[in-house]
Amino acid sequence: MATIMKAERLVKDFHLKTGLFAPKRIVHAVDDIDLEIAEGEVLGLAGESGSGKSTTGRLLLRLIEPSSGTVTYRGKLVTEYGREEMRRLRQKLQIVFQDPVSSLSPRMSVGEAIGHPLAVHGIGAKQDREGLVLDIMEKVGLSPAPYLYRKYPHQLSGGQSQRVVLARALVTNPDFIVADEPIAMADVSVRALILRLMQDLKAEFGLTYLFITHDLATAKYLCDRVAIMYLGRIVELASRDELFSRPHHPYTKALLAAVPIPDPRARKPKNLPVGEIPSAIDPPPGCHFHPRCPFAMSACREGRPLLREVAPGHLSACLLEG
Amino acid sequence: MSSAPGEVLLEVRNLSIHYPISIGTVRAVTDVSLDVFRGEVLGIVGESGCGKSTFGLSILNLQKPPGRIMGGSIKIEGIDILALGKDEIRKVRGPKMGMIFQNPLTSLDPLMSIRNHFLETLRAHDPRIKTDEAIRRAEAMLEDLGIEKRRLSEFPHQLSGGMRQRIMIGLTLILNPELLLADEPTTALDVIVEAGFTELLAKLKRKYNLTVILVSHNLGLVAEIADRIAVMYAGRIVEMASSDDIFRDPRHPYTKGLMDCVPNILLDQKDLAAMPGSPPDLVNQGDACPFAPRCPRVMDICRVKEPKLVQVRSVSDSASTNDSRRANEVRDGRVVACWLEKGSD
Repeated sequence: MATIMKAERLVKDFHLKTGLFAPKRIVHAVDDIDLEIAEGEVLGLAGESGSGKSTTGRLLLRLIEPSSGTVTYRGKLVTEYGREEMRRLRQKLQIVFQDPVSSLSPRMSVGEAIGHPLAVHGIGAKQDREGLVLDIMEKVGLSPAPYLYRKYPHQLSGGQSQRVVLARALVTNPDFIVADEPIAMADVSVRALILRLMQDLKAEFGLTYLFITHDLATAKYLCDRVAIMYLGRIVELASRDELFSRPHHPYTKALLAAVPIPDPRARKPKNLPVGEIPSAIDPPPGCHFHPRCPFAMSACREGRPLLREVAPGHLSACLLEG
Repeated sequence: MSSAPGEVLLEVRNLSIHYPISIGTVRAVTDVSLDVFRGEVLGIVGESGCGKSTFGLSILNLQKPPGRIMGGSIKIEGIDILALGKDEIRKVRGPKMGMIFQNPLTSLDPLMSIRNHFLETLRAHDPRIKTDEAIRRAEAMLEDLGIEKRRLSEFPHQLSGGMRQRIMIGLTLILNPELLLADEPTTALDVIVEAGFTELLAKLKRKYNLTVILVSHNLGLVAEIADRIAVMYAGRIVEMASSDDIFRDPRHPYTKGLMDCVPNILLDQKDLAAMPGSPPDLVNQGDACPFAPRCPRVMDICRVKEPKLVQVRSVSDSASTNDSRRANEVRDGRVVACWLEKGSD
């Protein structure tokens, strides 16, 4: 499969405002990562809060500028694009956020919100746009579309709001979508509906997803491959089957052990790592995970362990054998 | 289960809670009755807006205005909470029952050290307690929580999210309550921290012989620690049974719908079942089963008359032979409100 999106040596540092004489503080949000996403796949990006997964998603779409490194979309170096070129490319690259309510303007009707990107990109003649909007509304299950077209966000349920956000992302006919925790705030019943809708839309529109999530059970359900991030670095990357049946990195194993199982018969002690994810301002040297790792060796404190192939197509940034 | 099965700590009967609003009355909780047994963890699950948090808060008589308890009774160790005055209920909240909320940061005072949080809590219930004694108790509590003593002099912003939530539970437990109400206690926490908190809660429950009511939309979390589960829909309990029964053999179509839409990492799910629609309008309620419009197995009668809760056989009734199982059956008392069950009339 062709590569649709590629990130090389991507770095993003955020400089914090500090006092005049205070030392400079830098958050290493994304710390030198490489990532390749094949056309038509769902790549999961999983990790705890503060692992840099959302920043990575925004960097790929150039919603924020990288400190260094490059992003390539279909062989074109996006990080060198000018303003106008980037604006035109945005039709093809879309993002869906966690909270549909704050993603929608309360003053725009459903029809206006979904049609807005068409106006921005000058797609279709003005009189045809309503038809395009109604069309996409039906496809995301917003029906009866003509009725909901005139509604405002406060008149919608949570599930409907998330469908509006999806419709707005899809109306420009994109091929790459960053879905940043799209179901994290939704109700249990709505989550399953949105996940299924995303699968259907992917098939219908030939989409590629970067699916950002903290929930590995959802990642297992939806993704073809999964990358695990910890403090700005990708620590493991493998196909779904590999990752869930043969996790290699101790952090991945810890995340997997922590996932709650909706089955009381599967209860067991979890062997959790000590402590919590440290600050990305002053991360531990060497492998960022070593202070919490039950298998840490002296070498783990020294250099950054690089991603290496532990099985075909299965990368892990851990020095442990096997 | 450390204490004798079947001893009722909290008894709720026919509880209804209404919120008057401009366009009518929101019937948030309708005719809820249940017993909470000493030493158990009772999970209360359902979608948002099904009344589970309103119900939880009412147990401490803390329902948010304009919410009003319209009828029914809530008794803890025989004391009718709804009959108590303002001062009397303060003697019940704390020593008898404590509560932890979703977001620990908004429950802690940013200008107060952790030590002072503990001192204030202890003094509120015992004004004559000596400072030395209070600090000694706070230090002992911190040890149970797995937090170093030195943290007592720190402030909430210096602690991680997981530590704050542990401090919250410590501030509740230091008064030795019988009953702990936890309303979505891990929603703000990351997955590893959440799992750690769940393990801590289970440990503290044993040590303090706590009874816990866990309100959550997270079926995974509830499956990890609840002994029994009550499923709420439209302000009613539609099914209540042991966790084993609920997960192994959900009887109410709503319970089954909820179970089927949760991804399980142990399984290889090809298709998640979806439950279309959303919970009903609680203002204009008819006589029908409130789940009828979303129910995949709806029958004619469901649209006309609401089924009552009826006793049904537990899965473990037939499977179990040993005595401990038998003892548990008394408390399991499996109930379902659905016309698909025989004898629902």
